[in-house]
This record gives sequence, C-alpha cells and structure tokens, in this order.
Amino acid sequence: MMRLLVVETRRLWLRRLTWFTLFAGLLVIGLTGVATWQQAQPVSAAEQAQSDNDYQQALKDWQANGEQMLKDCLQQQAEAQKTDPKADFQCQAANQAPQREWFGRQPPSFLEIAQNTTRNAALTVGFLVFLIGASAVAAEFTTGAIGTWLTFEPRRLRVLTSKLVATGVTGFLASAALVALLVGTTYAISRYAGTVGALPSDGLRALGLLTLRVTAAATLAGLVGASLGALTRHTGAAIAVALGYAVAIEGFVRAWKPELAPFLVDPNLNAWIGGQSTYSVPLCSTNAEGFYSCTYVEHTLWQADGARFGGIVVALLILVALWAFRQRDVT
Amino acid sequence: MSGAPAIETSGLRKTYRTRRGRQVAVQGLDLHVPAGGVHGFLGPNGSGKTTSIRMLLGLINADSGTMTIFGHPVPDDLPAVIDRVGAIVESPKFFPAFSGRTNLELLAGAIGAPKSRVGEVLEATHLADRAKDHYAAYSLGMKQRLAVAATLLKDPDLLIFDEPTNGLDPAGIREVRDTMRDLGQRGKTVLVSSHILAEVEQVADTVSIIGRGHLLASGSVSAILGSQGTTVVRVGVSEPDRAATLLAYEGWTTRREGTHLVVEGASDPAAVTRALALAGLYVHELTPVVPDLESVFLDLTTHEQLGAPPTSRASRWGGRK
Repeated sequence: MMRLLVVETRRLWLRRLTWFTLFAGLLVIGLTGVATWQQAQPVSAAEQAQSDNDYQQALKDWQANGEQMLKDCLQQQAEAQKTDPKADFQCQAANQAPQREWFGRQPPSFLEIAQNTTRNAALTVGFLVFLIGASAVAAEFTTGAIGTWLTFEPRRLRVLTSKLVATGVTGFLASAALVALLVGTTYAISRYAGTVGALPSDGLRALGLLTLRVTAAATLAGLVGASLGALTRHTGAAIAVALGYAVAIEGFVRAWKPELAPFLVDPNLNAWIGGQSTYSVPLCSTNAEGFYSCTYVEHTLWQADGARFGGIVVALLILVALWAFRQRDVT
Repeated sequence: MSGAPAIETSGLRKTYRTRRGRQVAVQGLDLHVPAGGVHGFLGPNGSGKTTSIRMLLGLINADSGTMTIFGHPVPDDLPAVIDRVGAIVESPKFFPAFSGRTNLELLAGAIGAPKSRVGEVLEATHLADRAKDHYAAYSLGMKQRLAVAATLLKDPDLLIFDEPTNGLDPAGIREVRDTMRDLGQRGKTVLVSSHILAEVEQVADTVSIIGRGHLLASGSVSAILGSQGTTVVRVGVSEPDRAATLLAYEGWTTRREGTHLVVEGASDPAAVTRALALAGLYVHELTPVVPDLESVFLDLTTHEQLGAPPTSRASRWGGRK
C-alpha cells in the first residue's frame, strides 16, 4: 500500500495539470496582491484634509438640524406604531453626533486584510484542488491507463484508496502552500505600505486557525474531485456534476425550501470557515384582515455543524466511489 | 500449483447491456492453455477474445463460469498470481504526457521492481534512445514495444499479448514474433491473440479458435495441420468433369479449382491415380494440399457465423472441442 501511495503521489506531482493549477493559484494570489496593495496604502495628506473637511461639515449639519431630524424620526415611528406596535426606526442610533472615524479611509491592518482574503480565497483554492483530484483520477480512465495499472495491482480497493490518499496529501500540501503564500504576500505588502497594525496573539491565532480550516476544506474538495473522477471517469463530467450541483441543486433548494439549508454545502462551508453562518426561514400567515405577511426566523449553523456535514458528505462520496470502482468493469 | 495449466476456464460467460438488450460476448467458454510454449487464441472480430482476456485479468466481471491461472482461481486469487502475469490488452495504454521511461518507472514502483529493471527492458525493446520522449509522441510500433517492455518488468511466467503486432512494421512484427518464440522456448507461456494467422502459425505450439463466444476447436498446431495434409490432394487431369464424376462415384468428395480437381478424403493418393488410370484418364499433376491455419480458421468461423456445422476437415481437427 505504501508503495502504491508513493507512486501515486509522485504521479500527481509529475502531472502538468497539477503545476498549471498551482500556477493558476499563483495568478489569483497575484491579483489579490494588487487589491491588497490598494487597500493597504496609508492615507495621504490630501485624503486626510478632505476627510477632516467632510467631518466638520457633517458636524455642523448635525448641530443645526440633528434635533429636528430626531423629532421627525420619532414622529414617523409613532405613526407607524399605530398599525404595527413593534415598529422601531432606531431613531436615536440614526441621529447621533457624527464621529471622526466615520470619515475618510482608514487603511485596514494586516490581520483584517489577511482574514478577508483568506476567507475569500477558500472557494478558489478549493476548486483548484478539486480540479487536481478530479483530473488525476479521471485521466486514468480516459487514457485507459487504469487497465494497464490493474494488470500490475489488481486489488482495486487498494488502488483507488492509494489514489485518494495521494490526492489528499497533494491537495493538503498544495492548498497549504497557496494559503501560506497568500498570507505571506499580504503581510509583505502591508509591511511595505507601513500599515501592518497591531499583531495581538489572539488575532494571529485566529488567522492561523482560519488558514488551517481553509486548507482542510480544500483538501476535502480534492477528495471530492478524486471521487467524482472515479465515478464519472471524465474530468469534464466531474466538473459538470460539481458545478451543476452547486448551481442547480443548491440554488433551487435554497430558494424552494430554505429550511433545508443545514443539508446544503454552501452554508455549511461558510459555517466551517467563518465560524458560523445564518439562514432565514420565512413564517408566513394571513391575518384577520386578510393581509398576507411573513416574518423571517434566523437560524445559525455553527462550525461544528459544518465540520460534521463536510465529513459525512466526503466519507459517503468516497465509499460510493470505492464501491463503484470495485464493481464496475474497466474497459 | 506446479503442473497446473497456465490458463483454464470453464463455462465462462459474459453479457453486456446494450440498447438492443443484453448482448452475449462470451458464452460458456472452456479454454485450456497448457503451461509452457506459445498458444494462439484466434477468433474473428467480436468473437469474445478480448473480453475473455479482460475477464482473466479481473478487468471485467464474468457473469458465470470459473477461471484459473496456474491453478489459482481468478479473479479472487489474482493478487497471488499477478506477479507471474504480464499482459497487453488491446492497444497499449499509458499516460500520454509522461515519457516512456516515467511510465515504466511508475509501474515498476507499483510492483517494487528496481529502477535498473526499467533500463533493461527499454534496452531489450530497443526503446532506450527514445525513453525520454513523451509517450504521446511515440509511433504505434513504439507504443506497442513499450507495452511489451511493461510486461517484461515483472519477468512473468505467463504473457498475454492481445494483437501484439498491430501497427508494427515488418521488422517490428518479426521482433515480436521472435520475442514470443524465445519466451516460449524458455519455458514461459505466451497466450497470443491475433488476427494475423500466418504469424500465429509460425510461432504457436497450440491454438484455440473461438467464435461467437465459445470454443470451436483447440489443440496442437502441428498435429492438426499434419493430419490434414494427407487427406486432400490437388489433381491435374485431362477431362476434369469426367474425372470428377468418376471419383464421386468411387466415393470421394471433389470440387473444381480452375482446370484442376481438389479431392478430399484422399488418405491414399495412389488410389486416386489408379481409379483415374483404369478409366483412361491420365494424371499429369498430383499435389498434396497442406491446409494452413487460415483456411481452417475460416472454415470453422464461417460455418459458425452461418450457423452450420463445419466441414468434415474442420470437425476432425484438433483434440478438444
């Protein structure tokens, strides 16, 4: 088994598509770096003067009209409460004195940018690793090399398991490298711009855990790709199944039955990566006057929910792929 | 397991689901390939040769029947015997973007063969100079040679070659033929499926002919062809029509072949000349007809396709049927 694993891992790293995919990942990091560069620039003297001016103007407006605006708001709220006693226009909050930090651009710190870019890169990195896994396994069927391979090692469960484990190892290394490079590039840009900001240990720990969660999610995406590659036996078909599911099934189910969100990939993925994700389920009724109205009840999916869902889905998919590979003819 | 046949199948059956319903590919195939020597596995296109080979190698599942390789039941016990089997099924199939050497190194790695073995088999198949080229850039003949090299990585006791000379030039065909003959002489068992019957006839010690998924004939080539050579003669005679009538009256089966007569069942050619001479018909040519594998193959498989029994010549042919 170890021998097969070594050979499969070597094969994966010899594949051009693996390197093309990593190169595509580098391009994405480069583009993200350009956006980071723009965000991380310190505030110029002209921007500072402009924001000071805007603040002073807003303060003057509030001093002149703030009291009246609050009165108007409270009056409108009282009117609304005649039909809906729960109406709350948040008048006090909306009419408080302007604060200086509301005006002008504040360059985000390294930790803020890194958290955002890492979270946003999860889908891209996951897709790239999915592609590595799907193409590595499916290509063996399209070229027919799997037949040659099985004349050397006929134990099919071993063969596919070695491919899946190799994909997992490669996917982990590739995604870890990409995410590390992304964070490293962000730090380098922030440092060059002089806007690194504070680096509290809990902030760094949170960033570290986020990169690990993204890496884990991408590794699972690779396993999903490899399993779909074995089931569909064609890279294009594996991609079509994944995209078709994401667009058609997830989109349709979310619109049709929002209460099924706990069984969908997207909200669980967001919960896993971001710590939690919310979804709203409408509760609709017709009142005595015949008005149809809905209120939305918000539910939360937690990180553990996302981890459990991802683990179960990937495990099931792997089991189905192993069973199918063991049973089906290789022609 | 010593002394066991290299390959033995019994009642092997495989059907495929098609749009027109279930298609029978192999129907109760009983195959016996003795250990050692070259065994030709012949049959027209679609007769089930490749399907049978795929079943033996565990690539496709049989619907029913049993198979053994060197006495090991397969596919269940295939892992125990696979190191003794090298196979090329249909066309060679490798990773096109990898070089020939890389493809072989990966396979060698899977079976724990040393890297030096890769160099040896590349040398043996005259591919060492092109070993670094991508497999996709290889000619069909080079691909075929790489497949042969792959089978030799294991130094197997049984080699299964499915159409090994496809795409090879005459020199390549001779090379593969010599390789097969050499392997057979070294005590290895070579099962060669081919439609180039002249090639098989030159190297095979035994053959099996299948049609429509079941065995039509099987046995030693030399015995079969040798026995056939004494029963058919080609006769050049004046007045062939009259001669044919006369010989038919005497109990021989004849047919016209141009100006000549072909007489079947002529175990004693002198009796033919004597019968004709007594009738005043003088023979100016008498040639024993030695059937080749192709004529026997065509006779058997044509009758199989037509659903009629083969001629007496074919039905007498070989030991097992």
